[in-house]
Amino acid sequence: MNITVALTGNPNAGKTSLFNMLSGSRERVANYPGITVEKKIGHAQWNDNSLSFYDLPGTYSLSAVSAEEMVTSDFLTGRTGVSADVILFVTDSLALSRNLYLLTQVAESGKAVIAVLTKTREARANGKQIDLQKLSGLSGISFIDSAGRPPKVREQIFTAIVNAAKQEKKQSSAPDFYGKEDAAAIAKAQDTLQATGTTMHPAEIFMLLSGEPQTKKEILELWHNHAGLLYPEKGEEVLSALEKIAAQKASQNGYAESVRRRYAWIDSIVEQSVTLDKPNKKTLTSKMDKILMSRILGPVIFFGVFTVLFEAIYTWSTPLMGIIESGIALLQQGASALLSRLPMFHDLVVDGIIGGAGSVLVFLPQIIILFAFIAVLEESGYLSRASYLTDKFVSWSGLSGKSFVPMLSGFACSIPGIMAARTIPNRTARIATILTVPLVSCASRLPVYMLFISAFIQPVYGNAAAALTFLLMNSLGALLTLPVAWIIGKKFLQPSPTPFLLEMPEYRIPTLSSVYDRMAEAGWDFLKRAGTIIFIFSIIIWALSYFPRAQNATAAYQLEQSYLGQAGKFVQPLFSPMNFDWKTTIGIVAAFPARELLVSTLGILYESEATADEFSSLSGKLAAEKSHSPASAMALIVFFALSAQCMATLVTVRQETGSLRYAFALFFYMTALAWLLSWLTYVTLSSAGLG
Amino acid sequence: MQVKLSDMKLGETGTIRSVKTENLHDMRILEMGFVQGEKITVTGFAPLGDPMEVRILDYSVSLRKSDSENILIQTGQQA
Ligand SMILES: Nc1nc2c(ncn2[C@@H]2O[C@H](COP(=O)(O)OP(=O)(O)OP(=O)(O)O)[C@@H](O)[C@H]2O)c(=O)[nH]1
Ligand SMILES: [Mg+2]
Repeated sequence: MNITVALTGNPNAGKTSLFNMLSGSRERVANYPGITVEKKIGHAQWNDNSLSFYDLPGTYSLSAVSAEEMVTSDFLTGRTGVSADVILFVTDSLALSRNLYLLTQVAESGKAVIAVLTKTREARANGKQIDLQKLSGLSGISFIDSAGRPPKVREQIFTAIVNAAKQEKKQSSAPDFYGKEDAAAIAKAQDTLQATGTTMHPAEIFMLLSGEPQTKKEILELWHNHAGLLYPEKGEEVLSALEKIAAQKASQNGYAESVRRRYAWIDSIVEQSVTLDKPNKKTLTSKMDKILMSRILGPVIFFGVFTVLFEAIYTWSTPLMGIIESGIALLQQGASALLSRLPMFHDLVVDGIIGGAGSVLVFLPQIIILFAFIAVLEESGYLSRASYLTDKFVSWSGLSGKSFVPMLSGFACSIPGIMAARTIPNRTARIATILTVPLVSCASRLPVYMLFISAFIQPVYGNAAAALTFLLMNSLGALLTLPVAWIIGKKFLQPSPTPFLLEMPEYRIPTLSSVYDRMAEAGWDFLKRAGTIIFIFSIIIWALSYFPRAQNATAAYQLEQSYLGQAGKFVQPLFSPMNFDWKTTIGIVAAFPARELLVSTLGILYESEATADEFSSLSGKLAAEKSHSPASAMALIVFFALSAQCMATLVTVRQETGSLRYAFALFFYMTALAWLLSWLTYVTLSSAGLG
Repeated sequence: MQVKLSDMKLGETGTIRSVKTENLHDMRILEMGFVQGEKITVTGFAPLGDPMEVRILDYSVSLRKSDSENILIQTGQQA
């Protein structure tokens, strides 16, 4: 039998953790509400049954308030075409009552429901005992505890799923929370909808029927985009059916009353099935929050955490990079000796491939260290606190604390950062976040910073200055996000108040395996990137520097007259105010597909010029050639910190906003801003005598 | 005594009287358990006094003043 299982539950309930355990997948898990933003599919085989699991974004209610929550309502009502046979309801025992609220709605969907209780051990540690038997008996839904040895829990859950799928659909045992008259109105509206070929959950319909005018208007706005996406052909028809329902008179009891009834029912169940050891026991989380969220120490710790993070990335990675650098130099020597009889092939391998893609590989340690920190932050539960601490400081820009996580993810890579913006309910704030996350210094910029800092800042001004510059460059983009978001929101979009409502999860000690997974995944992605995009572009760039061949020319002259050299000279005037030479401008042009290509391009350029026996590091070569003054080196770093040099980001912005316009806007404003600030940096530093 | 949630002090406890239900966001607050009769405790204020953190139904959540102003709480005797 083929069984489709949908995992549903509140944000941060542990759906993805359970999904990974059941289907052997490795989707991202983190201690922050709203990590999963699109549905994921996993499979498992149990006896003769193949089970397909769908991990869905978490939600507090099936009456969606954001696009990401719509995904879940769509799936549970079967609007997307796929229909779940069994719903696996994931219940966080730390916030049992609030979780059960959604369960009362899910139970109304008419599907078979099995509930799984997560974090029961933590609940017990907090002095909370849940009686599974009573909970199941009173709610009419069978609950399974997820604690225990994975194979055993899996067996238990799989068996329950198969049994539930085989059973005849039976009437839900949950009481009717709407009242007779309202239930009839809901059923009638459902008929209207089904006539147009769509369907909604009773709770969704009821809110549309009974909401205040503003609520109705907002639901219709949400559907305005959604109907078109869901039903390309009959979107208009569906919308007019919705409008008809919204135009109906207010109901007997109203939505608020239905919410109250649900909670009254839940309170009576929880009272009978949960016992608290010491009702007012202070949990570890509340003790830690006394310090971490205190009004004075909180911000101090916040800045401390992020300063240490970037300092550590710089100082810890330096020795590791040295090791990789010497490895690559050895490789080059070996390849050089081996291929000395085949001049062109020799140059392709030694200069193009090893000099290009190899010079990017050196930066693997930083990427891995950055992700280790991010993993710890994500799993600890500190991210919600950081959002809370920063909310008021960012609210003037039109953003809210909810933009913190997209921004922080942006330090790793803009793409997950942009996707994380789906959890922002307000459209203006969401677009402003999407358009500013790419300013945040992503991991791909690290190679550029490191290269120029170690070539031009560290040798002259020492380690402390180098580390400080590194910290400064990492913060520059992030500091600009707020003013830019403010301008975007105020001048180009319609400003509207941004809500902020965020759950504070319990603190948790990150497991070694979760940190390791994140590091391994990031490291592997980086290697793949170096082995594919960077590798291919390195060869192209090398070829452009190798042809056309000049007769009996010096290496320097050969380069200058190559196609690449011509291109560099062509754009050089644009950058002459910052005193960049043509080799640098080649790098800038070559790096538009992906930033690291600056490093690999310079690697190729300086490698081709080097004589066979000097295999020193690229930063050493740059320093020896004195290609940049400190002022122009800084100007270059600033340019790379802010310009939109990443195709993948632009494509993602197009996807997430649904409009090419935003991708173009992003490209032009970032590149212009980068040029302007780069020039300002140069002018300021030169007049300070660093020219 | 009846006060706005936003006017409550750190550590104070009360019972929810009423919540505004004008728009989708208000409805979400309601659905997260801010219903009449539930107990609520103020557990923290962010550095600038806003947002605030409260404990309700055995979990913690933070919300802005613009929302907490619209939630009325019964404090005093029963608390
Ligand atoms: N102690 C304990 N922690 C758990 C359990 N299940 C999940 N967690 C933790 O709870 C947090 C959230 O887990 P996720 O699986 O990402 O939750 P989710 O429901 O997918 O969350 P969203 O995708 O944000 O909606 C993570 O820190 C997990 O490590 C459990 O049974 N026990
Ligand atoms: Mg998830």
